[in-house]
Amino acid sequence: MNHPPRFRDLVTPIDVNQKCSFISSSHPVLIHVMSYNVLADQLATPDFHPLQTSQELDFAFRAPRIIEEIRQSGASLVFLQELDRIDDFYDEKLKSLGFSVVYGQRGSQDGKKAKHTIAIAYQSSEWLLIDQELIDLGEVKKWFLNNDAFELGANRNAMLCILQHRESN
Amino acid sequence: MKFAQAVFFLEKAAKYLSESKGMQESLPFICGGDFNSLPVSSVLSVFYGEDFGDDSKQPSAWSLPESIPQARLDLYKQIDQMRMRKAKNDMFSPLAGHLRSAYDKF
Repeated sequence: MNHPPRFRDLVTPIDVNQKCSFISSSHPVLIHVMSYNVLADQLATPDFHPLQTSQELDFAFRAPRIIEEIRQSGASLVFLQELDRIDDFYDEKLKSLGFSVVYGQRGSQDGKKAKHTIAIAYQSSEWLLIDQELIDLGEVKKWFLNNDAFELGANRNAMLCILQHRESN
Repeated sequence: MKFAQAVFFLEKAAKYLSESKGMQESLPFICGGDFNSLPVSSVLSVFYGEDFGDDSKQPSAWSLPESIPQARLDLYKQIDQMRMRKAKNDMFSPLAGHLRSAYDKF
């Protein structure tokens, strides 16, 4: 059987842990990226995390540590998952670190209330947002109309952004 | 479900790149997230273009659990066949040269 080209054949391993280097114009550019599932406050419960203490699950305990982790990473691109507490915490804190933030779907969708969302945070001094598009992963159920396994909860999103690196253009 | 979502996402990403006229040649495509899945999983096998099959040797070391229900196995195969058809029709080709990976570092 002849197989089509594999994605693996299209993939180039990077040479630095969690850092992606590429050539843009004639100058090599090093980009530091971070992916971080911050654990939604609404999901930080003993039922889901029986090994953690109540203090460790307390948002007041976790929140400043999460922000400090992001700050210390030095990342200029941060991909966040399970983001809630946006209006009363994350939005302000991320902006104070110099990030602009593009959020995934928030609020209700199809009558289902979302518990959390995703976000792409980028350092405004390094990146310019050119375009963004939200992908509703729930649309995949159209492929399988008669299969209940593809009934998803609200706000199962992915997000695409085109960001221009200011320095290398 | 996640397996299908991964295929769906790559198709959408490829379409998005192809519609970014004038940028295809210069755009690195950085894909970040937890994919709601483990590093050793069917989802990551999609990103790595691994062949689906009960007896194939997957670089991600992912394999179907022995106790998988037949209905779910059939669904995996159905989705994989869909993936292969889309790949043969070059629906993922705009991603060629844009994907880089940190997978080997973990």
